[in-house]
Amino acid sequence: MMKYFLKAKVRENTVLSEGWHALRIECPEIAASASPGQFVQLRAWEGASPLLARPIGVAGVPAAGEILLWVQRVGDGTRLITGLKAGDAISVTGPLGRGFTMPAAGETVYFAAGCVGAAPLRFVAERQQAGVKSIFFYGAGTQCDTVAPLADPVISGMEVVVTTDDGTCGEKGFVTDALRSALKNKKPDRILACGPMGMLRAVAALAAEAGVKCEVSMESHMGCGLGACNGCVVSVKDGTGKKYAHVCTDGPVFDSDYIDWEAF
Amino acid sequence: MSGVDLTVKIGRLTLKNPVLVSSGTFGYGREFADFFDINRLGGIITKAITPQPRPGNPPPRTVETPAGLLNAIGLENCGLEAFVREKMPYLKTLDTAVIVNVAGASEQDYVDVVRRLAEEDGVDGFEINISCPNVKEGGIEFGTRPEPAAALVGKLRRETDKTLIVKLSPNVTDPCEIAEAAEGAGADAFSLVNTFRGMAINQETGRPVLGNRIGGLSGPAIKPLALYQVYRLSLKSTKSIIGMGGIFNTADAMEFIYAGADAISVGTANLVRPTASLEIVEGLEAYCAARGVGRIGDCVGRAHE
Repeated sequence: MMKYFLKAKVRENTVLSEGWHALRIECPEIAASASPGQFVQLRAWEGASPLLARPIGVAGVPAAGEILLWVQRVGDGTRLITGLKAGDAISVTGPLGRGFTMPAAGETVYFAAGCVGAAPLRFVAERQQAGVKSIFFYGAGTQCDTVAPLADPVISGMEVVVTTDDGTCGEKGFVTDALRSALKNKKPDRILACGPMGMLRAVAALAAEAGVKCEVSMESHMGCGLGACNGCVVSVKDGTGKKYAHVCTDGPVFDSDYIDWEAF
Repeated sequence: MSGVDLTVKIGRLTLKNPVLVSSGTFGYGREFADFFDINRLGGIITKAITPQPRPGNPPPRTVETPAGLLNAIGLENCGLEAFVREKMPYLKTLDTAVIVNVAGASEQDYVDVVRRLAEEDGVDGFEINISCPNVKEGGIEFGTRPEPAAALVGKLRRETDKTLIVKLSPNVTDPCEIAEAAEGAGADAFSLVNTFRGMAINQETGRPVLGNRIGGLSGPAIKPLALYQVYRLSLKSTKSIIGMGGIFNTADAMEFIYAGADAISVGTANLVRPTASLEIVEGLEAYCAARGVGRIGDCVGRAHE
């Protein structure tokens, strides 16, 4: 698939909750070809600091010609990106990487999302065909991080189970606690997960125990995002003796049983 | 066209312009072909090739630092045979110079790669990597003392008539000593600098961030250091020089050319802007045209005056 490096324009930047922004970016070429689970590399500044572009998963294509990104402010790069205003320019490279397997009609899918990791799963849900039964398990630290996903029309259109670490919204506990209970009642055809590494490892273990197919979207510091620098690897279990896979081109979405979780 | 002559000679090779892309930052070329016509470049320097495949270092392999990037990739590559089978067919279609970066743990490793590729159409030259800071057996032992450097280059010279470029490490007391020895053994050109050894420590754990503990620093942070090394070598050596280290734009490239580089190589900037190298090709032409410079070669080493 063709990749693009574009000087794009921000159409809208909305604060969904403290530090959590929704950016709609006009980039027709990428919007037309991005698939759920893929990411873009963003750079909203000139100059050398910060140096590298920031990899952000595409959260959807809400209107023709634009992509939706959910960006949480965590460091200098995301501070600059979330500080953009409508009309500002931003460099976008994409679409990059391999995305999720789309659930087929008649399948049941459990989404397991941790915080802003909800974004690429939202894109799956947006594209999901009729006849897929899905439950969206969403975990966050505290109530304010549940505002964005719960207010989102795509996610709130599904059955949603919320957990927070401090119990200020939904059940108190981790998203994996809720997922564990649900798996006891009914096993889905697949689990699709995105979130922090510890959560993904726990989801992978639950899926393996239940014998359910599971795909995880992995995170890594990233150089080029194009498979050229070999900077973003994760340890994998591969029958051919391969030790590492590239998050940017082999992933970011992997079968959970391909990842060597012991290595983390 | 502007009429500016951008061609430069590097050893036995004539490049259509002085802009190369550094090993390990441009894959095998194809990774960037969606973004621009890579035949516009003066040439491509491939990811390092070793005789056998190498998995590379454990993650994390990169850390961003102020205006810089620390990496410890560990020479991950598909190995010589897979390179010939899977990468060469594409490289052969290119209308630009293809320089293969060669690494190894022993003299024989380097000889094996150069001997195998010496007769391949589509390989125009070799960059001999004796300066990888991230692998114990990555050739650095040939890059830190003059005698092993000369012995290795002498062996490789007997294997090929193609251009031999020796990539120098800045992590030595005097890169010029290594260059002088390599020049005496038949090196055609030098590329410098490879990355500067560095590290980063995690504030929470107190341990090194990189899986390999130490890495090599690249990016704008090293540009003045790299520029000085290029300037210094160009005062001493008559061989061609490819200058690199933090080149981000046309102004950076011109600094290296004025310092004495015949050609320049864009590295970390490729990761930041996939079209950075093309922007510099176009920028150099515009720069020369605007100043009435007919031949970019006339700018080389002006800083010596």
